[in-house]
Amino acid sequence: MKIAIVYGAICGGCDVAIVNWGEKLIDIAKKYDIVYWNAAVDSKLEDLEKIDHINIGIFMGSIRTDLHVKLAKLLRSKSDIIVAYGACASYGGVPGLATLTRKEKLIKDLASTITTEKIEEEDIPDPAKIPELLKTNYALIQIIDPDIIIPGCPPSSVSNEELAKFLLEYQEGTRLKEKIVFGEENSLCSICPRRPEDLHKIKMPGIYRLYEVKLDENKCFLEQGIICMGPATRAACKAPCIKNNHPCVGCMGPAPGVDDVGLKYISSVASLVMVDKEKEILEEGLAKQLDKIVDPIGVFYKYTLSNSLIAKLAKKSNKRDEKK
Amino acid sequence: MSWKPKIVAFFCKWCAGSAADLAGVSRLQYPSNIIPIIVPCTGRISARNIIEAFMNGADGVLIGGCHTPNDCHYLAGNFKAFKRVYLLKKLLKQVGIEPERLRIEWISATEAKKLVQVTNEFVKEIKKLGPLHRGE
Repeated sequence: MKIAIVYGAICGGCDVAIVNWGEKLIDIAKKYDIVYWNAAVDSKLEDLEKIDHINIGIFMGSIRTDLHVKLAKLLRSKSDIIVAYGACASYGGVPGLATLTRKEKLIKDLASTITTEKIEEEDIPDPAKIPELLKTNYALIQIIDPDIIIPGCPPSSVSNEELAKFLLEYQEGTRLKEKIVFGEENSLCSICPRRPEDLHKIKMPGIYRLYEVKLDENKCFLEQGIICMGPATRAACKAPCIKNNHPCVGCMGPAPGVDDVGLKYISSVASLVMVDKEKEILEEGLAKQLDKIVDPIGVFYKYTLSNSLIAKLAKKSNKRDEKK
Repeated sequence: MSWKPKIVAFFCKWCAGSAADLAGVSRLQYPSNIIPIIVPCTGRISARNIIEAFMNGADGVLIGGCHTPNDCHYLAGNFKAFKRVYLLKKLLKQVGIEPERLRIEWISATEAKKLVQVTNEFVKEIKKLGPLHRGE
């Protein structure tokens, strides 16, 4: 059987996560013929094009250039099963935050420094043919339809084991009945070791940064005024961040039933912040607390901006059109 | 050309909604750009409702609730609406949409005149900002 691992815009973390399979990788290599994996085997794009049929295609990283689109579509046309591996492929990931910046500005910033003159896009020499940057960033699920989604930045050891098990048990030619998303059908709070006093009545005593409070290691982050993305995030890990006294940042993507993490979280954070003191501090006091969230996109949409409603709205809005 | 702003207004049933009724009964006129939606409490309007209104063609969203601090029928729903709107405005600003398109006002059941004044002001402001969606 054949397996291909293909990259989009990737940082390399997902590769490391896959290599973390350790000895299982040997079993997988015994069962599968690795036809394309830039980090492990020496095969070029032409080789991938020549292959007629691939059993499993794993795609990592988000879609940023026209080459990534080509690769994704090529992989879809040849593979029985496509795995969207990692937060970038699943939901856009950290590179998805580039949705906020226009392509022209990115290129300009890249090509000009303080000391050089301002350079226009046309002036940049193009000796080697490099893939063209797309207007904005996409998640893999916006381009093709994957069969398996493995969220995480990078996917957790739990998901990895599940994937290895799937690969080793996979019979040639079988197709999945429905799309699988790895992880539990619940939010992170369901497996969180830090239990709040009353799950139905969490109160945030203001909003604090991590360095501002002395954290109690057994108390819910929200009850201590720290923004934790757990309530809106899928439980697909063993909560390693929380066990190491760091709030969840939401890399596992939206919890089941949620499709836009940020909006859901804004709604819930509004029902939590200072709920018992609202009538004392009034609007000014609340605004003061909420102003402590300096970068709402970066906090609420760290991994899911590409495919979010707010990004779609921004694309639709005509302000960007005028600037063109 | 003949673009008319579309504004979705979420009014709470107890205050702004009643004020809208009162404005109708007292024959006060307010612009027809406003599409009022009466909800039980402004605290139940989720951030998603507001963004979906924008997605589906609204150029502005107005939220009318009870006066703070003590008028809310459900004790503190208006504060929750305030917090949501405040955060959403910050979010809209970051993605490059004018935060002025979203507005929250406290209007009690007797303040039909304030409702008329607020809607007039808001329609004027949205007209100044222009359409949110391209090709309209």
